[in-house]
Amino acid sequence: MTADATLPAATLPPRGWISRLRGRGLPWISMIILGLVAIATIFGESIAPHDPNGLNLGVAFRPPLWAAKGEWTYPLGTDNLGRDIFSRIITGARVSLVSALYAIAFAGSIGGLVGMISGYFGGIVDAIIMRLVDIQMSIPALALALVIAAVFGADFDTVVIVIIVTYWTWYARIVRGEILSLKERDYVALAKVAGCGTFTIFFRHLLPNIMNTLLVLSTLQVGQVIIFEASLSFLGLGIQAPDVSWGLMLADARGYLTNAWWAITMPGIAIMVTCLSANMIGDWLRDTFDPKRRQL
Amino acid sequence: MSLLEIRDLKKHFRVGGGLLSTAGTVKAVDGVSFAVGEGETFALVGESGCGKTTIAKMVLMLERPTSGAILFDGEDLASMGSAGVKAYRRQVQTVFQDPYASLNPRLRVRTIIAEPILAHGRPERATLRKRVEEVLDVVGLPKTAADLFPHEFSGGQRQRVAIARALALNPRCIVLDEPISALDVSIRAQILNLLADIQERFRLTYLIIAHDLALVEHFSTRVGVMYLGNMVEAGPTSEVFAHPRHPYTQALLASVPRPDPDHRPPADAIRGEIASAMAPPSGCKFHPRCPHAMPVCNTEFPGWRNLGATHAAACHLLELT
Amino acid sequence: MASNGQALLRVENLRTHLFLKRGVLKAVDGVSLHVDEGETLGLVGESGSGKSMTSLSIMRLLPKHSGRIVDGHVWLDGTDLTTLPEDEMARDWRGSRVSMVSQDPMTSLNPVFTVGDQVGAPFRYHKLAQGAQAVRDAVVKVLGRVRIPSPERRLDNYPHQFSGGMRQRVVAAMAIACAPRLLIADEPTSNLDVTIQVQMIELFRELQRDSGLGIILITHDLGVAASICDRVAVMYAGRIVEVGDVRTMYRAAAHPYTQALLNSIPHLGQRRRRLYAIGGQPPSLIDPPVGCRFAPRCPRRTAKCDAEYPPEVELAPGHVTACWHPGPGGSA
Repeated sequence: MTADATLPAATLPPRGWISRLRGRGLPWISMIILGLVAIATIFGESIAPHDPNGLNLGVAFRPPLWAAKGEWTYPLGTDNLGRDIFSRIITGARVSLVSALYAIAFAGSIGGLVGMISGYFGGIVDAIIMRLVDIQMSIPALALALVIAAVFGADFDTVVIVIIVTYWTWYARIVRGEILSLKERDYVALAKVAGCGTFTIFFRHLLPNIMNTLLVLSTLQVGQVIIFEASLSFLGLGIQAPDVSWGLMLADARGYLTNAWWAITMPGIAIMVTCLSANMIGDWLRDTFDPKRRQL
Repeated sequence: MSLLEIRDLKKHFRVGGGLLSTAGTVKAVDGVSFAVGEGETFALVGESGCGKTTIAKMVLMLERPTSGAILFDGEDLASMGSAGVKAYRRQVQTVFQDPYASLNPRLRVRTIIAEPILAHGRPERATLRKRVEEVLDVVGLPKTAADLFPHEFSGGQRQRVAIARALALNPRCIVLDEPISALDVSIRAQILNLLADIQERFRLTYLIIAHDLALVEHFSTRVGVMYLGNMVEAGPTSEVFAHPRHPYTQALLASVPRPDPDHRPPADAIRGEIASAMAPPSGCKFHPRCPHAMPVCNTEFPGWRNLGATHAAACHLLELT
Repeated sequence: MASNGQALLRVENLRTHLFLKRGVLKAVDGVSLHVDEGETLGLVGESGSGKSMTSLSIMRLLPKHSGRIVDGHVWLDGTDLTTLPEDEMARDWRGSRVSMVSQDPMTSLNPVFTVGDQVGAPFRYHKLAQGAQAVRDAVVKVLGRVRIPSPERRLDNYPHQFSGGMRQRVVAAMAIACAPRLLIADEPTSNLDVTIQVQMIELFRELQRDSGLGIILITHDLGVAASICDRVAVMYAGRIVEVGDVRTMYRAAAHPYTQALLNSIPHLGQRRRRLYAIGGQPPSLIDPPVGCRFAPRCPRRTAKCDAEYPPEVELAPGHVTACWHPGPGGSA
């Protein structure tokens, strides 16, 4: 036999995603910020220095500490009812992040599955699903939110449902596109020749290959979803007092823009910094997983 | 009796039909018949777009024929039930061209080779392990290869893994779709010799798809030459290569650059380019490029003419003699 | 002007390394070659043998950041291309005096521009024709030279309206637009069907006859090399192992690797039961063997082969090989 038996000495597994993450420069600042937001989400009120709903008209409109007359007690100032903005941002993180995670988990699973079915089976199934997606995408999200809020009432669940209904289409489209090219891979054809069923092909050959896409897309959507939640709450279609959310804080502070700029700016910065961090981590994940950039 | 028989097979694809173009039909395979005997190596040869790969896909049940029949052991694939299809899949396996695309990069070699076995039953772990190691040994890879991932192998080794997988179910027939053309020159011979060895050892029947004529001459026992969806000449390889009767076969053979500095392929061996499959020429599809074209070639499709017990060609010239 | 026989291109001891995370890949590790005016040199080797890296080094088109010429000279018409500043290389040399045809005509052409635009680009860039009409005339002329029928009409077509063979002709037209002295053709025929391949081979020969162009043909196909080349150099693992005129190389190759390559492919009209298979595979170029790089796969391997890289020996005028045991093959 002329075969060569020279195999690589070390039996290394392919670099798993964890080692790949370690191999590149991490976006440390973004990760620290998201970490802080996560801590706020988990502990919420218990680590807030003040009661987020504690009215104290005596200290209304205190400016943040670096401004004239600012004090350490209220580092980011207080709003029109004397509530501590720092405590409210900490408490509000929970609504923002939890609604985002819930919504993305559901939208991702539903959209991903629909996209896989649509892309793999093609033909009439694909045509119907994609028309549904088109229709869904052409309905203004806020109009849909109004209808849902009118039917079920405006609360946390409404926010999550609206986000799911709005965002699953993204997953469906992108996953379908991926599957269209994946199903033409030789190893998928070979699995059919081997006699594998559709189930095996789905879960052994297709799903693992779209996980990266799903992960990256989800991370990128965290930012969008937080902003969307804020918009809904701002418009009164989402979170209602006494719950606290960043969008609600914006709405409350809107009337005092001229005499207390910090009341609207601070939650705005919280939203911006969180979204930016999520997006940067998403970009970095995409670059890390992009096979073309993985070569060298 | 022949193991695999193709009868008047056709595959038409609808293409286009978008906003700016009207739909057309590509007749990728347009009435092809041939038979492959047990233990034989039948080669389908032709240039790109001739339909040879489409035939392979239909034989592998990856595409459904538009019309015509594929018979395996005398049984029509189209009329098989799901149990019949399952049994067919056990007996017909394949090796594709690109060993980088045909192995799922996320699976270990053991899983890749075991996949066809597990698709047809639930053997004990020890049995499965033994079988995987057995086929690895057949293709000349050590046992330790089973625990590696495809990216740890070179192209030639990957193709060995692909062959091992094809052998896992002990098939009777293997469809080889350009099995060496993606490999490096010095590796090709290893793989070709391996394929020849396992054919002898397991009494396999090969249907090989290739564009390299020297390879076909070396490797196959019978050959079918295809042009734009039709078979133009078929017969025992030695006879077709020694005495090609169809002008296309002749031109093809003359065009091959040979590793011989004193043989320069004649520039006038063939003119023009292959016509579009969307709008193939009338009559004999080869006539616009044929040096011997006659008026009848433009209008009438040439019939199949026997030139001996097993050699046949489709050309009007042969009617003259 | 160099006359026939005087080298148009002379590459001296070229070393090109790729600096990768895994280590330094010595893609080209001491290559010397020359191409005369009106001559075609075939550079034959497997993937990873360094033949494409050699050509990219001549063109100075190495991958940014990772690729670098670490040693050696590339003399073209008496100028050392390795020392030229990049802007001078781009202005006066690359695309004009030395140009390239690559393997895939589809990626060499931009689908959103007409063929006329693209073939005209070198004329405009190198200021060889002034004004729209002059460029157009020049394009028609060069498309005619690569035998594209009725070039006046095809000028305004887009690449997708051309067939594969015609596209490869368009790419060839772009490459010869500025009347280069040296043309590097990297696997120009390997994506083409055999019948089209013959036409391309003929085209290259015609172009050369007209202009005294020097050609480096990079290929892994020994048949194509035999049909076009005057001389053939065989590369293995970053070095040239044997070079000689085409007849010598195919009839009296002395290096065991060259012989093995010839014996391992099926030859039309000579049916053999088994092919000669070279065992094993090429060495890693990050950590190449000290001695002869082919030694681990070589039937004539001795202790000396492992210890020291063989010096080049001239067996006949122009026939040079780097082997401790050169000689006619007996193994196949």
